[in-house]
Amino acid sequence: MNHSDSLEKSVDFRSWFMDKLLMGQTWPEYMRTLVTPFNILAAVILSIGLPLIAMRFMYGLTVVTHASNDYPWGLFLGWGLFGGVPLSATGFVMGTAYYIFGFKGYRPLVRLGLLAGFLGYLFAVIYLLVDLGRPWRIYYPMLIGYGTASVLFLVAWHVALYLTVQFLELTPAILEWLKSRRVYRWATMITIAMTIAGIILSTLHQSALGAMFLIAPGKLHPLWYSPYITVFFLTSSIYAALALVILISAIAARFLKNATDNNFLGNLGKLTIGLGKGTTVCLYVYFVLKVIGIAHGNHWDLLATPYGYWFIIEIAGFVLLPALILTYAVKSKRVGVVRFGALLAVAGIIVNRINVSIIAFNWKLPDHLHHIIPPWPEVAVVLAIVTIHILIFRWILNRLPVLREAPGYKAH
Amino acid sequence: MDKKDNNSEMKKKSRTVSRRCFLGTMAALGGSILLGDIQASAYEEFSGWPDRYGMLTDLTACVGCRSCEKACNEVNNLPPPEVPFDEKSVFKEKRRPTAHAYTVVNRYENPQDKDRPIYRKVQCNHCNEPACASACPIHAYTKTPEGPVLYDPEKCFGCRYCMIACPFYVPAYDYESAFEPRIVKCIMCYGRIKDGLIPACAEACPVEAITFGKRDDLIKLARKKIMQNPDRYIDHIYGEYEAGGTSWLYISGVPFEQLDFPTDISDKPPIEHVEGFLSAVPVVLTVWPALFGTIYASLRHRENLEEENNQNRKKEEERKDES
Amino acid sequence: MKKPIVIVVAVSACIVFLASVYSYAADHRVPKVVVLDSIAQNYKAVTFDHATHSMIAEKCGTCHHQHSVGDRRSCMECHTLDSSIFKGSVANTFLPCKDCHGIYDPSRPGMPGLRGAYHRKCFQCHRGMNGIGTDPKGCNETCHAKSSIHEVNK
Repeated sequence: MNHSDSLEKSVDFRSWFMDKLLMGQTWPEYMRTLVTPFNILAAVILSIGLPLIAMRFMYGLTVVTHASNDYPWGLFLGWGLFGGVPLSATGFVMGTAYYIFGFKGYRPLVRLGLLAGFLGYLFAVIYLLVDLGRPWRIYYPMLIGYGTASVLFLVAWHVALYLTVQFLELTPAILEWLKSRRVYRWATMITIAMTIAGIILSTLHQSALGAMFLIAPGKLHPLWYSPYITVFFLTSSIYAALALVILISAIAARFLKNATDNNFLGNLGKLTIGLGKGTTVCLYVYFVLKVIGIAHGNHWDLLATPYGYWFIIEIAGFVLLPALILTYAVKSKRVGVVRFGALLAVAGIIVNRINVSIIAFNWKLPDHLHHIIPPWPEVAVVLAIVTIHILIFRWILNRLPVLREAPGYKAH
Repeated sequence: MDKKDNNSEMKKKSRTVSRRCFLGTMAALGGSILLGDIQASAYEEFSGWPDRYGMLTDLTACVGCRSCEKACNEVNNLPPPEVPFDEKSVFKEKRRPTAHAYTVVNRYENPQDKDRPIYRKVQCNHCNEPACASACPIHAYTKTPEGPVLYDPEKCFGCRYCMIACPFYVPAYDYESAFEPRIVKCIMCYGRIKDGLIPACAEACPVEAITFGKRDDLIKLARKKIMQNPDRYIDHIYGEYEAGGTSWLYISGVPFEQLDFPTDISDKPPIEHVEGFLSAVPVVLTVWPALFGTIYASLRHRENLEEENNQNRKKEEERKDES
Repeated sequence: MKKPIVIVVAVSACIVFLASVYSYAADHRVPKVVVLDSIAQNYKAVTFDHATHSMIAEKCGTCHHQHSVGDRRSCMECHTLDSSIFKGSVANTFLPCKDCHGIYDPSRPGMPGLRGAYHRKCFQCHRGMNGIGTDPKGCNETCHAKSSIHEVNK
């Protein structure tokens, strides 16, 4: 009796494992699907990056970065935290649009937004853990000391809370995957509360990332330092999120067709145009805000300096240009061009955050531009983390009902 | 000096105005919150602990003997220097405080007299309202009533935001350590001060170019020196107002920017640039749920109405059909 | 080789020099040589040739406080308070530095300690000479070698 029971259980587990994790394939079948050019590239990157990450934890930050006393932060935070968090506004933007403002047509993209947001924040925290001197003390702002005047204290709390919120927002998808019913009902009931919590936390910490630089007015170049930097960061995070959803949905439709359904594929063109419209409006708003920022500080004369040229490239080439491209693309309903515009807008966000946190920061120090070039191990570590990010993202998209609807579950 | 006085006067004015505006802004909420327009939260103005100590460095007196570096190294049990303390080759490049040196002395060419180069001692300035302490998310920094700004490595998790925030590029970090990295900076010999001694660098300085005393006394002394020797000093006490005022003060014979002092930092304590944002936080926390909750409810309400209308219309149509 | 002549000239020059210094010192009751050893725990004592320095300085006031610095001296400590002979009545009772300057007291930051007072005076002229002010080694080579006690202590 007992014996057959346990046997049944192990058979159950086996089929569950094959169904859920191997997507209905046997081990050999599954392993064979893994040999793809992308996976081989990923393996190469990881085989270089992972040992470097291990070395960083064994021998300190100097082994992989050029972090110095004048340049405490580098690519890990400039790219991972300051670049990663605005792009992870996808969860908050799509969630708000769908659940609060009632843009019901965007249902096929909501979970994609939520998942991208959740993973984005998770990896922002991972970059932070790699960069922190004593990462095992990550919980200190929650338990050991309260630096309530610190913007970073606020960011720490908000990112921690928001990560939890985003996980809760994603639980319906996880529970659908696990075919749960009872817990599922509970999970969907908190959706609205979680979405509003997401709005609060997101508006605050997106702008807080900008506010982090308010304390160092002498160090950040005046073209980027502005009392409005909080608004810049918040506004730009919204178009960053919209543009990123355009991009990843396109990538998913192209490379993960099996994970999608007809609802997703059939509506994607129309929805992309709609998101493009939103992106365009936000881009123009942001552009105007940036111009007001210069006017407010009366920094027109600085535009004629080398940093000024770079600033012009940033807001003309990476804000105004994508806005114009998107305007044209939305008007003429060209989905491909919308995607190109979105790509440029996403690049622009990264350029802006890298500018604020790395290029225009410490601009007055001698030999500045020489100091900010990251050494190759730092780049390799970042590439490795990006690769893990993509792999996990893909792993989940292939399994959870994100790009498709789970049979038997109604929209909530 | 005129400019400084004007500044502080204007600061006072703007503060009272903005405090008055605060309630108005509270009512305005909305967009202006995000613009960070709220300048002042209702905080008590704190002009620093009374009777706190300070240091006055007379840059015209320093002869670059590096005795202060040596004394600092010995008193704080820092590792022996790579280059001996009586070696002048270190002056070839500009140094900064590191994980192994709380203080360094740099040499600058004297435009008036090539044989008498100018030296600048660099270390933590022990701000009245330190940016590092404001930036630290774990409260690892303390501004002591005696003046020194202290750091507690037991709390620090190594985010290095204090280094970003410090307007003087002071805190250094122990990047080489994988398991116990910490911030390193001058502590103004806090222990010695508590024991009634004076900081080691001041004690070691043969010319007493570094003077230890009550900050208020030192400002008076600096003013007197400048007044009595107008040819020797420029009319500026660096640190009297910079970044909200620092415990460490400097007087010099040449303009401070020639000695790489950051001179474009505002007279406001750095945290004041952030206060607008911080005071908006509670507003967002309380108003957002109400605002977005209402939006959600109103949209659902409209949906329900439409649905009801639709049903009524259907019923009517059915009734018509029946009749 | 005219060594003997050189020696004779040198010795006689020395005699003349010392004689003049002696007579000067005798006239004015000033010390010929002062041993400065307030920081002997770190540096060897300096034998300060006061006579030579006072000749070079020409006026005592170059180094000593001559007219009231702060609250330290009243006119009658040096002058006879008789307006007709006031100027000529200087007693030349300059105090040695250490009579007032001692260990630095933080409650009186305007009053240099003895070591500070000495060095500030020395550097009025010596800064820029023999590496003083340009080489941290200059001080030891010019005036005071590091004390051997100090070396032992280390």
